[in-house]
Parts: sequence; C-alpha cells; structure tokens
Amino acid sequence: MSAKLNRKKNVSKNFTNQTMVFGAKNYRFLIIAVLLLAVGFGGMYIENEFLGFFSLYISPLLLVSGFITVVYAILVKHENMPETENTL
Amino acid sequence: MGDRKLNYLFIFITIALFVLESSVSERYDIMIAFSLAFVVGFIAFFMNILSLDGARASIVVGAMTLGFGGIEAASLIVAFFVSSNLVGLPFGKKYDPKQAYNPDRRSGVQVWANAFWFIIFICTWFVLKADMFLIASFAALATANADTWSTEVGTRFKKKKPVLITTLKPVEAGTDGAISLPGTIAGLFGAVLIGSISLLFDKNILILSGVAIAIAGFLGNMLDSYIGAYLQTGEKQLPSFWGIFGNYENSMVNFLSTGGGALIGLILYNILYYVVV
Repeated sequence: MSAKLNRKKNVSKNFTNQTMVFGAKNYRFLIIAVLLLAVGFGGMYIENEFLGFFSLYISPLLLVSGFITVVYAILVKHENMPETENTL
Repeated sequence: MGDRKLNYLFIFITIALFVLESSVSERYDIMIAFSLAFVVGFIAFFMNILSLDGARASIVVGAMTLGFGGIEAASLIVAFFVSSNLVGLPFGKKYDPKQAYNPDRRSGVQVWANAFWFIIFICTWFVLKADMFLIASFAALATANADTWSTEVGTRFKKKKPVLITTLKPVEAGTDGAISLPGTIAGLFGAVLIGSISLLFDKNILILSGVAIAIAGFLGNMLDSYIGAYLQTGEKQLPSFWGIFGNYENSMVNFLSTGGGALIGLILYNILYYVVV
C-alpha cells in the first residue's frame, strides 16, 4: 500500500517538475513566422498573376524564411528552459 | 525537454510535407501510417517497452517512417525494434543491471537519438526522390541496430573484460567506448541484418547498396565507441546542439554516430555506384 502511495507521489512530483516546452521567446518567433507565411501566400493571392513580380521574387523569399523561422522558433532555447527534465 | 521539441519540429515537417509535397494517395498513406503508429506506440507503452515520452516520439517516428518511407522503411524499423529487444535473450542476464544507459523503458530522448537522422534522410528522399538518401537513412538505422546489438550482447559476457577502443586498456562492461569481441561481432551481424533486409525490396536497391548499408552500419558502430571513449578521457564535452539532448551523454553519442553512419553510407554508396555501375 505504502509503495503504491510512494509511486503516486513520485508520479505527481514528476508532473510538477515538467516545465512548458515553449517560452515567450519561442512564441514571438512563431508569430513572426506566421506573419511571413501569411504575407508570402497572401501577396500571391492578391497579385493573382502566374508570372508576377511578387510571385516570382518576393513570395519565395518570404515563404522560405517563414519556414526556417518556424524551425528556429521551435528549437531556440527560452529563458526558463532547464538543462535536464524528469521524464515519465 | 529536447525530445518534446523534436516532436513538435517533426510534426511541423510532417504537416508541411503533407500539404506541400504529397499526392492524394500519399496523403492517405500518411493518415493510415499515423493511425497505425498511434496504436503501436501505445501498445509498446502498455507493454513497458517505452515511457510516455518514448511512446509520443515513436508515434511521430512511426508515422513519418511509414507515411514517407513506405512499407520498406517501416519493415526495417520494425526489424530494428524487434531484433534489438530479442537479441540479448539467448545470452542470459545482463552483466551489470545498474548501468543507466539501458533502463527498462526507452525514453523519448533515446528514440530521437536513434531515429533523428533516419527520419531526416527519409524526408529528404521523399522530397528529392534520389536513392542515395534512402541508402543513407538505412545506414543510420544499421548503425543504431549495430550499436544496440553490440551493447545487448557485449554486456552479457562476463568472462573477459572489454577494452577501451582508444587505449585498449580493460574497463568495466557497459562503459562508453568499451569494445569486446562478442559485442563487435554482434554489431557486425546487426549491421548486416539491416543491409540484407534492404535487399528484399524492389525499390531500385542494388547489392552494392546493401553492402554500403552494412559497412556504414559497422563503421558507425565503431564511431559510436570512439566518441564514447573520447568522452571518457577527461573533461571533454560534445557540442550541445541547442540543448536538444540536454546532458544525456549516451543519447548524444548515439545521435552523432547514427549521423556519421548515414554520412558514411551516403559517401560509400556513391563511390561504389560510380566504381561498379
């Protein structure tokens, strides 16, 4: 019985030790990425031309940098990120 | 922490490839793959093979493997999963059960350390459809398989102490960088198993690609021991890679060696291809 209680205690302790994966810094970059992607796709939609200037030269740059920013936003270390973490 | 971030990163990559690169039939495959991976991941969790983190990571890995790599890549990862759990059984109990590198349940960090490069090259192959990337991904898996086989078999032989790969001095079984004859032979067979299974597929895989996979897997396994020994020798530290693997030293070594194995496979396949064909 006591072993069971101890196990429960350990499980809840592990849960409380887990921190948020993303911090404010990550979300800031994620918003920038979404804006880049929205402008990239939205610009092409507004221009509505197959070989237009925006579609050929501006959008590709915006979209590629948007996707790279998403990756960076996920991977970047935020301020409160611990070095190690208890896993369940 | 790192494995949770990698889960999010690869979920994003899956969605991006699903929307931007996949055909309609491939989209069905990816959805079926996700459902199957979900079921298998949680079965492994309930069978005490994976931790909850490990189950989450394996769902992402399984879905991407079957969805983007097809049945060939999925059968190879199943062979890795099954054989690495069964290979040690005929050789009795482990020499030192206190070793922390081999807990009962595999965690998310361990899943990603072994599967990161495999998935990266599967995705590259899915986008570019160049065979050399498929060979590189199989070489990464052959390295992971060889490493697991070496550890599982090597730590079960008590008679003779293994030696450190750099100094050849006897060390405790299970030490990073320790090699023994049974472990090395087991690693060779582990790499050859993945190489020979890859020959069964009709996805333009030639004998030389199977050979490249097996050799790369074995050399990757040796690289794993060498990096492990490098860390044993003092205060040396590996780069942190944005803290993805935290201070899980063994996982970091596996991550680097599977990447090295994939690179060796990629180069070896190209050399063999231009020499032989």
